[in-house]
Amino acid sequence: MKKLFGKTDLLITVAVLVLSLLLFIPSLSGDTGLTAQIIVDGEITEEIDLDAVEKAYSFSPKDGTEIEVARGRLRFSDACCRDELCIARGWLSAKGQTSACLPERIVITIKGTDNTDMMTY
Amino acid sequence: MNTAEVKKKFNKKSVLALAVCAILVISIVLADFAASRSEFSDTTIAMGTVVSLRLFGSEGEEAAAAIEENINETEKALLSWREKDSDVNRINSSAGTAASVSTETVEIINKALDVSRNCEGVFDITVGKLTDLWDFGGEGQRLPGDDEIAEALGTVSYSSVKITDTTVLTADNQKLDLGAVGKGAACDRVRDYLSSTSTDSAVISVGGSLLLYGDRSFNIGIVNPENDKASMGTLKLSDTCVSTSGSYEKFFEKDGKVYHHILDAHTGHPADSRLSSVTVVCSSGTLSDALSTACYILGYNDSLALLKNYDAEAVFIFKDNTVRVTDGLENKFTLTDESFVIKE
Repeated sequence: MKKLFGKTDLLITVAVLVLSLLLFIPSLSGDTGLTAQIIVDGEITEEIDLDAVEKAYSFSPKDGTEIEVARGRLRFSDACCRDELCIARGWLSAKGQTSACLPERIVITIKGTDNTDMMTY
Repeated sequence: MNTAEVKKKFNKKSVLALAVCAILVISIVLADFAASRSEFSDTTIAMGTVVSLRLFGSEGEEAAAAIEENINETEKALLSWREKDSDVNRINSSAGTAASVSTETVEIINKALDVSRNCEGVFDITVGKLTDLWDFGGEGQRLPGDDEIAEALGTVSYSSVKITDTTVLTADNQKLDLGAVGKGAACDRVRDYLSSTSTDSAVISVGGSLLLYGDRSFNIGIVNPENDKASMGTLKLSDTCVSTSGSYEKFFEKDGKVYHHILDAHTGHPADSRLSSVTVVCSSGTLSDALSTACYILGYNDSLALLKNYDAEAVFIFKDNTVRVTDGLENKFTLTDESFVIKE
């Protein structure tokens, strides 16, 4: 009787399994796949790979406004507006999360790879 | 290894299997590449709120710029009570006498008045004097006195608004506030614009009110009322509008009590329903906005007939984290946060 599963078939199966495993390696590494965008006056001024941040840092996209960036997350840490709602919103760390300083027209938002296209709120 | 042995090892079946695998991988990579080439995403500020968009089709960048302009125009020319030359400001500044406005503004006001009639006025766009008093999110935000609220309530009456062709007449001292329908109205105007472009599909958020354009299905996250950075469930929808009203949006605390911004036009106070939020799905953005506010005030039971009137569906989130979904959304809603429970 002819063998149903030969050596060559085994070789191909192993190759496919190894390939599949390689595709999963990024998700096993703990990386989030998240990218933050800083938008000032409607223009993207910075794109930050949040997985690549090794040491937390801060920067000012406009005078009086400060954004703090750490691995996998970011937030408004200072603002010159009265209500400081953007600071109160705290850290953003998941896809689709957005915080805005409306008076200064600054938006920080996180792009990523989960399956939600948009949020209603 | 001679040629015969090589042939034996890599027989026809193996070569065929490898070819199929290769074609599959190449197809997936090419499809992904093509999709990324035809998608344009952007986030900006327009109409005093965050606008996010994802456009699918050609010339996305040009369409995105035009959409931003379109949304700003909705505020400046039509609906803002702050803008000197807007239709609503003209109506308010000539209260007691008829003001001539655009057909678009008349259409929006008519839709809002229709919802008011069908919910016995708990939602009412003539609450301008009342919202001024509370000034949620503004510099004058405060708890007004009962006498002040009673005086402002005296000006609230949707049935006083008279529309003839393109003129709008309001009662003396009456003030329109279209804030509850402005974002949805902007979604409707964007849809009209998109139909003249080569955009195949799009999902656009105007401060959380959504336009889903075209046949493409989108996964829409409903914000968790207890954590407005996370979603508690998703809706899979296409070609419609989605609006959410929730007590978490604007509020303040005074003497240990929380006062949120959704005012019941009958009492002049924040609506006292058992709900945390209502998400409405409806073909019109103006209506989905108006209905989400009206349903929040009415509560679950009284909302069902109102929604039916407009062929609209909804997801109700109660303060005790139970969730009710209307029949038309049952197969489209997926709960993603286990701290919520769907009630049959």
